[in-house]
Amino acid sequence: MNFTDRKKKIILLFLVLGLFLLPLFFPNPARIGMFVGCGVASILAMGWLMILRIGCLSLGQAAFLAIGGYTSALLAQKAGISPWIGLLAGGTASGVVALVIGVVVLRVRGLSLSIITFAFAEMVRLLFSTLDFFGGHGGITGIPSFTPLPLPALGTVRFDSPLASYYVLLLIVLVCGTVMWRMDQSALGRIFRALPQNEALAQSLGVHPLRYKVISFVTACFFAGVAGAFTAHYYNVLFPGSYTPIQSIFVQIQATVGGVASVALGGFLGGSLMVMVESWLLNVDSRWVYIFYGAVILVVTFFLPEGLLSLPQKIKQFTKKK
Amino acid sequence: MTEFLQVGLNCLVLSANYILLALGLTLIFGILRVLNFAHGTFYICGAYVVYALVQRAGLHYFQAALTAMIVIGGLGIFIEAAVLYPLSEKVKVASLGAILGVSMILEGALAFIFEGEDVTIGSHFKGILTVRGATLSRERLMVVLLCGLIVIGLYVWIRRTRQGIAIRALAENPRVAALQGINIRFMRFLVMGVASFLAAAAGSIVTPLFYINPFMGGGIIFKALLIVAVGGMGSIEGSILAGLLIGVVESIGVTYLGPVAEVASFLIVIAVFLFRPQGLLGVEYEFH
Repeated sequence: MNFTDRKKKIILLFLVLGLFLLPLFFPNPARIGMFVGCGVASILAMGWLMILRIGCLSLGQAAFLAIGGYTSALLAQKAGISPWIGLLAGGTASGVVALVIGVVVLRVRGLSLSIITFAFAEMVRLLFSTLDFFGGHGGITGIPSFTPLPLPALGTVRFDSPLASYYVLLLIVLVCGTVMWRMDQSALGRIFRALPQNEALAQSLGVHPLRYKVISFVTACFFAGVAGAFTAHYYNVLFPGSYTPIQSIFVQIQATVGGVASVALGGFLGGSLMVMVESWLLNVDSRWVYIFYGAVILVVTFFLPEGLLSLPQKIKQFTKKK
Repeated sequence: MTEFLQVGLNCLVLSANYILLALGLTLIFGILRVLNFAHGTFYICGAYVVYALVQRAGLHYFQAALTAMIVIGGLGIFIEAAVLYPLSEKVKVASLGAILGVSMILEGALAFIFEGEDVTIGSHFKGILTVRGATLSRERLMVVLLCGLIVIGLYVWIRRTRQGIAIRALAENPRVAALQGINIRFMRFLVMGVASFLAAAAGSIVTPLFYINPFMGGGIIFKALLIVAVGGMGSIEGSILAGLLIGVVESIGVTYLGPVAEVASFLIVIAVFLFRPQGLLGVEYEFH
């Protein structure tokens, strides 16, 4: 292990520690609500970057959020299944849908694939908002919160407060980040990155392109589903209107702003920062959110194409030139 | 028969609008290799310019429509010069992100300028026509007619003129086309201008028909993208065919099945991609 590696690990450790201690510094429930928004956005952005690795620009991540949310909410309401199992069930439902869709559509390449994901997301939203089984336009209300859990050393802990939910989400984000990071660093990640560069060559080396594309797609969508299930039990309501195409586009912008160099860090950075500014702007005027996102993506595309992660490098280059 | 005529006309109005947008998109895709997400926003901008000129400045509808088309055409050319051309050598993520940014800024700006309720202007062609018991409003007939004329004009331009040949050559193989002395820079401007012009035309046609709001572009661009995908990226005839197809399926479906029928458009797309990945009439493109 060389010096920079160690430095990176220490920074990462402090980051995680900081995230655990964050509510101590900002005990205001509204602030914690914002952090929850950041967490959900981070998971989605990480998934988006994971899918980008295989050369697919997904414009439909909101759909998988919705599938996870609706699955868990309906299971809890109609079958009385615990939200904790619902988290997994939501993720699994999203994963299975992603598997079925992925096997079919991931054969298509390039911008056509983006259009398909976009169309798929819109179809899912339409189904949720028109079928009575899913509550129609009104969505689902009165979804049960997370039930108390007996934890070792802490006794029975209630999970219906924003603070407790924050820690649940933090765990999900950390698991998601670790899985994505490990996947990206492993041989699997190298195969993912080889596919958009030269699929024929990868194939000639014994890589089954579709299989690896599906693996990446399903992993990303699984975590999106878990995040969706979490939001269902956190907000206790679901509206089809919160899964419009613009949400998927926000995910893309957040991820691009974060940076493509690292799936986990880029997604986390972009998702968190953008949502923080967004929630501040929402208090001022929701119309600024559009202008903000638009302006940020333009600036990033022109001046920082590698995202915020490349900012330190850019600064170093800039100061060296002087 | 009566009902059929009515549904038939409704779907023509829908298709006509979609086709105008899809043609612009497919042209831009063929030459600029960009999915122009701002196209729906151009459409709404066009509609709002017409609204502003008619309602607030008191211009005649046709004057307003023409001004809107020219203004939005100019806007398209400006965006090509300022945003898309500088990014044309970069990866496709870059231009896609940038165009999304442009679209969102425009939408936000529209929301600030035209606050409040959704708006519309009074219909310009009054009266109805009764054909075999089906009542058709003059307005809608004119819309279909106007769109039809524009589409035919565009088709002739692409198929029969030297410029059209140059555009098709560029879409097929930019490098070889450039070797034949085709000015790529100029063609990009031309195509972007014409496409934005078409979007504004579609927008100004609907202002008297529907209520408009600044964020309507997203839903419209979604349909137009589906049409382009079904018809084949960069194919003019494909877009016209697919626009008719989706318009027909949608209005028949919505009439007899309700809003769920919109899902049908998606199923068509999936089916087309499975059996003909390049679209109904498209050729395979190399993406970079």
